[in-house]
Amino acid sequence: MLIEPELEDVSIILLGDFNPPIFNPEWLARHKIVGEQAAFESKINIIHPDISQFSVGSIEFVVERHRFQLLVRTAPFVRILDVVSKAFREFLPHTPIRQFGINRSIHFSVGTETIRNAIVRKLAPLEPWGEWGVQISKGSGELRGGMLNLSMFEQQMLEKFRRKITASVQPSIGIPHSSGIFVGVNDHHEPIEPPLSPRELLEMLESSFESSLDNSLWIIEKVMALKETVNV
Amino acid sequence: MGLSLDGPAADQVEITFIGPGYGECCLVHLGSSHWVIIDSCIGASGYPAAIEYLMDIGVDPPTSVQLIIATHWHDDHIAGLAETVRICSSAQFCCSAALSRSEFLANLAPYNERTNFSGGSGVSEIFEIMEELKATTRRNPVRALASRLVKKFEASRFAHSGDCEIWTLSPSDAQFEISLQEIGRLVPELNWTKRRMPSQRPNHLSVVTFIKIGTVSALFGADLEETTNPETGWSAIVKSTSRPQIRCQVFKIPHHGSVTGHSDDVWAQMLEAKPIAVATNYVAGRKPLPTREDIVRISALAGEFYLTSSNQSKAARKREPAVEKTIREVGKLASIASPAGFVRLRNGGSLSPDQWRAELSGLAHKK
Amino acid sequence: MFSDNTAIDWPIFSNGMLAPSGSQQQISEHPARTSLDWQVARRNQNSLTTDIPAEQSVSAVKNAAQPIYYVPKVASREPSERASFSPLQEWEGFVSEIGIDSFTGLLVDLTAKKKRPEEKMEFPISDLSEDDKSLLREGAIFRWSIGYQMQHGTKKRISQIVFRRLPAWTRSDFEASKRKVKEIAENVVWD
Repeated sequence: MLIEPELEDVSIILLGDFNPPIFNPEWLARHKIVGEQAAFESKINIIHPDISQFSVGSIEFVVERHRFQLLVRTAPFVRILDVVSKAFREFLPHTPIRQFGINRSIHFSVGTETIRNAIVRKLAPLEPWGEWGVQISKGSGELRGGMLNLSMFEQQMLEKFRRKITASVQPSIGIPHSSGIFVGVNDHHEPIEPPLSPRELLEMLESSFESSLDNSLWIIEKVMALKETVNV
Repeated sequence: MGLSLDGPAADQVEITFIGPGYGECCLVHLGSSHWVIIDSCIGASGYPAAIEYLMDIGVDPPTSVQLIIATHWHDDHIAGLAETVRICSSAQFCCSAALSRSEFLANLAPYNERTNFSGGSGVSEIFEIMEELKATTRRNPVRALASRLVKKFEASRFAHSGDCEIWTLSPSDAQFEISLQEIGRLVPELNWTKRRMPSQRPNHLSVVTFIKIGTVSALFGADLEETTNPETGWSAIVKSTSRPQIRCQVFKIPHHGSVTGHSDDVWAQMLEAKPIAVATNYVAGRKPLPTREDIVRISALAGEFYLTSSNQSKAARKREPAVEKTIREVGKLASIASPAGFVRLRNGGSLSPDQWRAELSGLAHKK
Repeated sequence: MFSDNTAIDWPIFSNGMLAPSGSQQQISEHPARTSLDWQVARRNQNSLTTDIPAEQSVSAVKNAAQPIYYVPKVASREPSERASFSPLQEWEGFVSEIGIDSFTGLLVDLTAKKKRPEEKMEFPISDLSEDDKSLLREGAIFRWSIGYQMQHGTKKRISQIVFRRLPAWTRSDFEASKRKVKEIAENVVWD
């Protein structure tokens, strides 16, 4: 990686029909989807018919009726794929899953606020904004202004899926001294038509997970590379 | 590569052994651009080593390779074999008769189902090969069995005017039955977490190959191990009266030189006195093979003894300092994939039939 | 909790900051670094921005008819408290031999995008968690990651071995295997 991340996370999100209270640490451990010790030490926020939210080890679960979300901040990231595969192939094979997204986000430092601002100005210059851009440029310290968020997306038609990759860049609030940049990439897949079986969706998720993370990193590194192009 | 890139002359016999330390492949030039490939490993470019070598010396694999033999499905003997079969479209494929039996394949098949392991597996290669064999444009594959003539070429085919016979000497019926039972015990059960297939020891299904070209003959021991059962292992082969009763000049040492592959009777009854012996190293295990004792034993029996690689632990590739430091704290990371060593033996042409010229490259060396 | 999809459509990025209103977001996008942040932001939404997107009036009507659950913020999700571990180097390996105190793994270098095992390592069994020890058997697949962990402003170099909890063999796997073998038997003719 061009710049070592300060913070990173990877998540898988499934859209479909789920039953949130099924998903809890005890159920996961009973079916060996997670380890017993990890389940014993889990942190539960809520288990409710509409939402389950808890973390087991370093995997954070949020399950709602139509949205299943796993997030992990520590490698190996493939663990969340294994949880999804094991849960939905072995124990819940008939769960309607309709779409999935693989997300990767990184906060990284570029060293100084000046460099950060220069990169942000490169991505979103103020000149096109005319007089307002001039006004924005006059703000400093707590009154500084500029780019809040920039998103780019790409669409692809795969054999059975429509794929949309969205990358968003923001000044990072996770890194001190205003020296950080956040880049988040969402890799979204939905079947073209007709609807695919959950098994087919899972196969696509499994076969594309690692390459999706690689692709997301490739995109993130495009932003990281801007650090070498700004003259400050 | 280190070897000269001239291919063998049409009237020459060539036997080339390739071994990167983890992996093994043998190529035999029968004469007049007829080639045989036994097993497969991966070359420096990431392609099958046999294909790389043939192309380096100007041989066209799709038209020149006549036969591909898979001695068994261990990863180090079969890596890249599916690609080799695909490329060598004229070649007939030969493997243990066990793999032609549905009940045997059915025991292996679950290990082909989505293990999600990044590194591939021997079982997956076998099934990829089977997919390739379904193509109707290919010649029918042939089963390897004890004392079976799988291919014969008349002398008129070759510039050296010698005929050629290729025999498989194993597995025997007894070996097959034992192996079927043992594989049956490895079949995964419902609800077992998916994993790679455990290794099967001893290796009962390894295909031993005998090749005779004119007055030249060679024995390829694959990974066959000797057992206490006279109906299996090397004992069964030695005592067979239906195998060719010709002593060989060249011997590919079985099972990487390990004592479990050794049989005094093979040296006494199947090989000429002081044959040329070649072994491929195996460095992926806890105990690299061949051991010092193995080398001493083989050196005493062979006229010339070559190894394709070295057992010396090769340092893994260099990584950034923080990673290197952490690796050292955990243990010793060793490379198992060196650039392949080559032992190339050529005979005939301008050489007399009992004269072999050896060329070595990479880490290959003479003991 | 937010049962109307337009509520979910409120795009709140992983950064904890609001997205521009009215943008069409993929609803598979992770809306916040954690849902807890998202919930807090959702609750305080009106205080964070004065712009009211067109969707909100619709969702407000819908929401009024449906119960809204308040999930208290149990744990702080401020970025500085999150632990993060990005690997500098990662391998996938399988167990080739198991000894008394250690096991040998053959390793595929994922960081270098290798496709086959090219390295081997002997790992102390004592380095495994109790959960992972229960998964140790020949052929088992694991990941070995080395990198820096960041937490509470401190940086620590770590090495971690985690065994993969892959799906188990199911009836449909065995049936698929049988079908494959049958297809091979029917289509491959032996001499």
